[in-house]
Amino acid sequence: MRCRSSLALSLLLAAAGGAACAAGALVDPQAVLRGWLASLAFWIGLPLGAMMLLFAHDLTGGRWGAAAVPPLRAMVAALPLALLLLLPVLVWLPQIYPWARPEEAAHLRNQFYLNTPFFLARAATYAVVWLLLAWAALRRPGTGANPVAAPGLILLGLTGSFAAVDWMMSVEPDWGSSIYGMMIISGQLLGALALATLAAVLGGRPDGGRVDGGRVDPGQRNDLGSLLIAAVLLWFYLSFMQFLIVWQENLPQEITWYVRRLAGGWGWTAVLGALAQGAVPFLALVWWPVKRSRRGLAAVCALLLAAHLMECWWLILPGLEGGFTWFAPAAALAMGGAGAAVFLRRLGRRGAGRAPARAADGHVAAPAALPDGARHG
Amino acid sequence: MTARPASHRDHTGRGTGHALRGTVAAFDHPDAMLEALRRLRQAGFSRLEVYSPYAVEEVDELLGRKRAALPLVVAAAGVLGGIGGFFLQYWGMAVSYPLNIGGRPLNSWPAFSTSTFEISALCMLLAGLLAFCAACRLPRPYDPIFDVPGFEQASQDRFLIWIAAREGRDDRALLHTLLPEGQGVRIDEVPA
Repeated sequence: MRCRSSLALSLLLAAAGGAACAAGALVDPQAVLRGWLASLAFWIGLPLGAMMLLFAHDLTGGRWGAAAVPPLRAMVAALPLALLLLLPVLVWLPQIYPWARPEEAAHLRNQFYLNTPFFLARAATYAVVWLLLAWAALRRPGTGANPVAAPGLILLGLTGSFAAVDWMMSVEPDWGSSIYGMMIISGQLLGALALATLAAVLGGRPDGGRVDGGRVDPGQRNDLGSLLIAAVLLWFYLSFMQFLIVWQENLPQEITWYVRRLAGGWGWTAVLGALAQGAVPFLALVWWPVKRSRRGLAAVCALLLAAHLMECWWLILPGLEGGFTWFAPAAALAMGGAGAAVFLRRLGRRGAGRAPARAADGHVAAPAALPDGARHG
Repeated sequence: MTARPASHRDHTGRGTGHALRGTVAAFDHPDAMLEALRRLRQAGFSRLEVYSPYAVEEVDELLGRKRAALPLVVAAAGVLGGIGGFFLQYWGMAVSYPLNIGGRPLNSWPAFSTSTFEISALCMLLAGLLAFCAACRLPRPYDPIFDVPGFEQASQDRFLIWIAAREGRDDRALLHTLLPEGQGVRIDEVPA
């Protein structure tokens, strides 16, 4: 019952957000698209990060997997939906990317890489690789060694890094940073781990609302909390190193990226992000009572997810003309609602019974139907 | 092992540690040691000590140990070291000898951050090491328990429980029933 009502609520949110974006697209398509891209950067990171964590668990094992693997698999199941949500960006490339507008691209020296046909071909390549890996990850029941895990992690590292450069960094085609891809991937890992922990911790309720087939004990919470500390440190290290190097060089073509992102309201956003995605979760999690308590861990995970969404907006929106737009939260709502519907459906079905748990068509059929609902609403 | 007759001596003893006579039981397996520790606690033995090659969970609870203030000491050292390290650089670069480097502000805090972190980590390490030694009563060049044959195995593959002799009581018979000797267990007397 609980599951069905939250499913309906997610679809309602998806419809409301989708309607706002659709209405806005008639008035100001550029604003809708930049908000859309900024929020998609968050939502597409969850299935990608989840896939990396699944493969990592296949290789290393660990008791945290018993709690986190079911929600991670449900997140991977939302990958086709996330890729579908990328289509509006791919169709209206010149609305967002300066290099796709011939008059602005003329002075660019990296046109051999940043041009529309090559960009679309790369996007198609990433999509095919990711869908095949997701299929390989979900095909198996989830225990035992997966031969795809090691090559899958290497492929994900490469394609994820290139996709971050293509989709996110190239909104400012004059600027480049070699650490950027890994920085984005570390954020995706952090987001996926936070959502999986949140789902595992909340799902293990004794009142029958459990969705993961078993309660999460303090030991597992302890391990998940320790992994979250590692993810927070990795993300903070990579993000701060990029800032430190750019600050030390102080070159006009590099520092402008930070000048835009540290001025005015975006500067406070950066401070807030460093606190909410770095210092506060770190200090909370090194104190072991928080790490071991259900409520404490859930609160830290919710904070991390909110801060990560804000970080994605901060990474993309200041680089585009117009800056912040309210279509970013609207798009986040639309995508989040649709994604949550897939996620909950998948988790709920798993909890309901073992037999239909891995209906092979489930993760392909469901997402295809969802954007329709969002559009009609 | 054969138990030597107990001889009452004064409790000042040699060494810096246990000034009490006692008994040592060596176990091949940590679970057997924990089981024996539970039985000893139930039988009313309160002055106990465990020596093991690695930290065994539950031992602290069974021995009734309070949490040491070690984490607080380390945290305080980190904060102090961080503040001190940052101030050292701030004072040098912005107050004492201001130098314009690359047009950056004098208080170029991102550039100070790595050294601040390193100094903070160094302070945490040094303070943590000293506090750890103090909490463990280290260094201790000699302790009567070193005379127990096979004590060095506590840092290899044996799990040892030291049981203090109780004032005016002969617990040898009780100990022999509580600790099933022979099944991966051996018992030795520790002189004071």
